[in-house]
Amino acid sequence: MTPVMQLSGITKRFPGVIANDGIDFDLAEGEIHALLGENGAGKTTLMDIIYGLLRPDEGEIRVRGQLCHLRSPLDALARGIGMVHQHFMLVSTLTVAENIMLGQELTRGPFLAPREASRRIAQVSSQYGIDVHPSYEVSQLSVGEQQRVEILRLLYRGAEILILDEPTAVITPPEAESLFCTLASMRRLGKSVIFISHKLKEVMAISDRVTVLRRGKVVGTVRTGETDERQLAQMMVGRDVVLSVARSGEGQPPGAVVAELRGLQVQGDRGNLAVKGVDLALRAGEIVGVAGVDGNGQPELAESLAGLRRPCGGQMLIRGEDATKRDALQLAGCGLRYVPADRTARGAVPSLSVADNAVLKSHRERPYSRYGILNHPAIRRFAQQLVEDYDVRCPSVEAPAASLSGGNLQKLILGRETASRADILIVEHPTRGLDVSATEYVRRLLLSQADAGTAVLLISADLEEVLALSDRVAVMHDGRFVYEAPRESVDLGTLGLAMAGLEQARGRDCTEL
Amino acid sequence: MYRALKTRLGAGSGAGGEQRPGWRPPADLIPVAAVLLAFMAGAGLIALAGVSPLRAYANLLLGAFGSRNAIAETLVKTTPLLLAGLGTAVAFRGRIVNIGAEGQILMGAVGATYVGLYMGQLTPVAGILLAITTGFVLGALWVGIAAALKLRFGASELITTLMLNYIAIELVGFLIAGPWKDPKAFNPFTALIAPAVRLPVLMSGTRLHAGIILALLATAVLSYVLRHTVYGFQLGVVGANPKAASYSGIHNSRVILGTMLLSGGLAGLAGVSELAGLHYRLLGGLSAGYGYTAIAIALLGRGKPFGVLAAAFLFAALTVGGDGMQQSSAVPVQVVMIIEGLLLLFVLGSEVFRARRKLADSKREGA
Repeated sequence: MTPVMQLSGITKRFPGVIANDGIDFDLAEGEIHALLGENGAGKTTLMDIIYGLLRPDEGEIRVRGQLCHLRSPLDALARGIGMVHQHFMLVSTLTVAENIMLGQELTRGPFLAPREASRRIAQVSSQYGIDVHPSYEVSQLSVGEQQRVEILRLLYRGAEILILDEPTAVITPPEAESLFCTLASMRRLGKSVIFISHKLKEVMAISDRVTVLRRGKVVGTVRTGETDERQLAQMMVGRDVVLSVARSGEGQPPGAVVAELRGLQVQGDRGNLAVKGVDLALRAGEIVGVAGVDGNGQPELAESLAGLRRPCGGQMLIRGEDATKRDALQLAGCGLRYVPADRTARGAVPSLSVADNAVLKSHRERPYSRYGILNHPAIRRFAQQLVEDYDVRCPSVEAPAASLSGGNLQKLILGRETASRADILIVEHPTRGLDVSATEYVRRLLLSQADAGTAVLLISADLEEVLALSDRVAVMHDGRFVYEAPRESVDLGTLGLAMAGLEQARGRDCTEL
Repeated sequence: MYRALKTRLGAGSGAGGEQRPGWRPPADLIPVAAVLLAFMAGAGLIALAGVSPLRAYANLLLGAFGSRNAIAETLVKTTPLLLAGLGTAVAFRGRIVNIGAEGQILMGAVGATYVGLYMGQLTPVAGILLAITTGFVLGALWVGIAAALKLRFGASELITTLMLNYIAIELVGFLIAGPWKDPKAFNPFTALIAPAVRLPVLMSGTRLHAGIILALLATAVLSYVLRHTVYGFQLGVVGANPKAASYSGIHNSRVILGTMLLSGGLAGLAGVSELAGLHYRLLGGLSAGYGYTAIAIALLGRGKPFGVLAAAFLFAALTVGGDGMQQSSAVPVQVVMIIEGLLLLFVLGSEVFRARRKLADSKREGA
C-alpha cells in the first residue's frame, strides 16, 4: 500500500546549522505517527516543510505517491495537510462557527449561511466526537476547547493528514484524555496524524509508530508495540537517562517553619475569589507539592506569595513576621525566590540579552550597580558564571534571551533565582514544555535546593512530578486544598478522586454559562 | 530563492559584492540601504517632474551644505527636531506614545519667555540656566497631566497628549494676544526677552546658536542614561515586558511617570532653544510642526539617541536643502515632503528584514 505521505532525503540548512539532514519519513493511512525528539532536534523545521512554510534544500515530498512542491500552507491544505500549532490561529472575537468557516464561508447569494454552516459543523463534530458549541465566542473557551476548534476546522476543510505540534503542552490532563479519544476516532475514520511530542508516556499511549529525531537526523522508526519508554528516551538523548529523579526517602527531617499562610484569600483577574482560604506551612529543607488541574487558584496563590497580587484576606508570615502587605521587592529581600510558569512573558524578557536577564532582579544591588550606574563588566562576569554553573547553552551572554531554547531559558531563570541565598523557592510548572534532559536537570536542582535547606513550594499540573519530588503533597481544587498528605501515605485513589471531583465542578460551571 | 533574493536586496544593495555562502552584510547596513533606496525612489519622482534627478540632488546638497550659511541653517533646523525627537524616542522605549511634543515645545517656550520677560536682571549664565530649567519643567508638567490621567484613570496618552497640543496652542495665542502682548507692537507677540536669557550665536553672520550644543549634550547624556543606569535598564524592561518588570520588583508606574516627564522636558527644551536662540519672543507658529516631525524622527532613529541625531540631521538637511532645490532646479518643494515620507516607509519597511534575520539567527542558535 502506498503511504499517504512519504518524505525522502529532506535536508534543510540554516546559516551555520543543518536543521534537517536527509530525513526519510512515511505516514500510512489511518496511522498515528509520533515524531519524538528533544527541543532543537528538527521536529518543527520538518513540520514547517510539510506544511509549506519552509522549502527544503534537498529531498522530495510525495502525497499519495504524487510528487509535490508545497509553497505555502494553502498548497498544503489543498492537498489535505492541516496543522494545529501550539499557538492557535483563531480570531477570539468571533464565534466557533465563524472561526471554522473563516476562509471557506458558506454563502447564499451575497449572504453568509450560518445555519447551514452550523449544521455541517455539528455533523463533523459528532462524527469525531469533538464536543464544541458552535455559537460560543472563542474568547470564552478554555485552551483545550480552542484546540478542539482548531482540529475541527481542519477536518471541516477536509484535511486528511493532521499535524499536531505538542498538542498536550498547553492543555490539562482531562482535556488531553478527550484529545486522545478524538485522535482514536480519527484513526478509525482513516485520517492520518503526525503527533509531535517529547512526552514519552503520551507517545506510548496513542501512537502506532514512532520516529525519533536527534540533531536533525532520524535515529530510527519503531512500532510502538515493540518498544518501551526507556528505549525511546535513549534514542532521543543518545545515552541512558534516569527517567525518574525522585526524592530519596531518607532526607533530613524538615527544619523550622519559614513561611506560613493562614486562611489566605486572593482575588483572580475577574474579581472572583480564586484562593478561598488556604493554610500552609513551608519548612526549611522540605518540598511541598501542590497538584491539581490548572485554573483552580494555583497561579493566584503563587502570585500572592511572590508579592505580585495582594491577598484580600488572611495572613502570610515569614519567620513569624507579618509579610502580607510586602511587595515583590521586599519579599525578594526576605530570601523569597519565584520561578513563574510563563518563562517568556514573566520570568524573562526575551528581547533583552542573557546578561540583562541574569540581573533582572539584582541590577539594583552592588556590584551590578552603584549609585544608579550599571557596572556592565560585573554583570557580564556574573552572567558568564551563571551560564557555566547552570549549563545554559547560549551563543554568548550578549545574545538575546529569545535565542535560548525553553530548557536553557528555564535553567537561566532557575540559576538567577537560586544563585544567591534562597530561603523560600516557589516554582510553578518548572518542567512544562522542557525536553527530557532539561527536565532531569531542573528536578535535580530542586532537590539539591531542598537539601541545602530551602523551603520549596512546587506547583505543578504534572502529578508524577509532584509525587516524585515532594515531601508533602496537597491537591488544590476550586481555591482550596482538598487533600493533603505526607508523600509516604499518599493514597492515589483518594488523590485521584480529589482531582476528579474537580472535573464535576468544572462541568457544572460550563452548563451555567 | 525568492526570500534569499529579497533579503539580499534589503540588506545588501548598498554593499553589493560577493555572495559567498555564509557571508551577510552587517545588520546595521539595513537602514542605510533603506535610506538609499528611498532617495532612488525619490529620483524617479523628480524625473517625472521633468528634472534631472542628479541635478536636483546636487542642488539639494548645495542647499543644505553648500555654504557656511547653509550649514548653519541645517544645524539650526536640526536643534528642535533633535530635542523633540529625543523626547518622543525615550517615551517609545517604554512603549509610551507621546505625540504631544508640539504642545510641550510650546510650553517650554512659554517658560523661557516668562524668565526672559520678567526675570531679565540675571547674569547671562544664570538667565540661560534658569530659562532652560523652567522650560524643561513646564514641558514635563504639561505631559505630566497626561501621565496623571494615564496612571490614575488609565486614559490613553495617545489621545490626551494630542489634545493637550491644542490647549497649548490656544494658551500661547491667549498669552501673546492678551497679558503678555508687546504693548508697542500691533501684531500679537510678546516683547523681546532680556539679552541675558538669549542663547549666544555660535557663528557670526549666521543664525546658528548654542541650542545645538544643548541638543548634542542631551543626546550624549540620554544615550548614557539609557545604557548605563539602573533607570535605563528598568525602562528597557518595562517597555519590553511590563509583567516581567513587576515580577522583578520594578515599579512600572514610577518608571512610566519618570519617563513621561523626561520626554516632555526634552521637548520643552526644544521650545526653550527656539525661543531663546532664534525668535527671542513668543509668537504664534513658533514650533512649525516640529513636534509632529519628531514622531517620524523618533521612529526613524529607532528610539536610540544617536539614531535620532542622524534622523534629525537628515530631515533638517532635507528641509533646508529642499528650499535650495526648489529655487535652482524648479522641483516643487512638496517633492521633499514626499521624500521624507518615502524615507519613513523604506526605513520602517526594512524592519521586516531585520526581524527576519533575527528570527533566522535565533533558529540557528536554538537548533
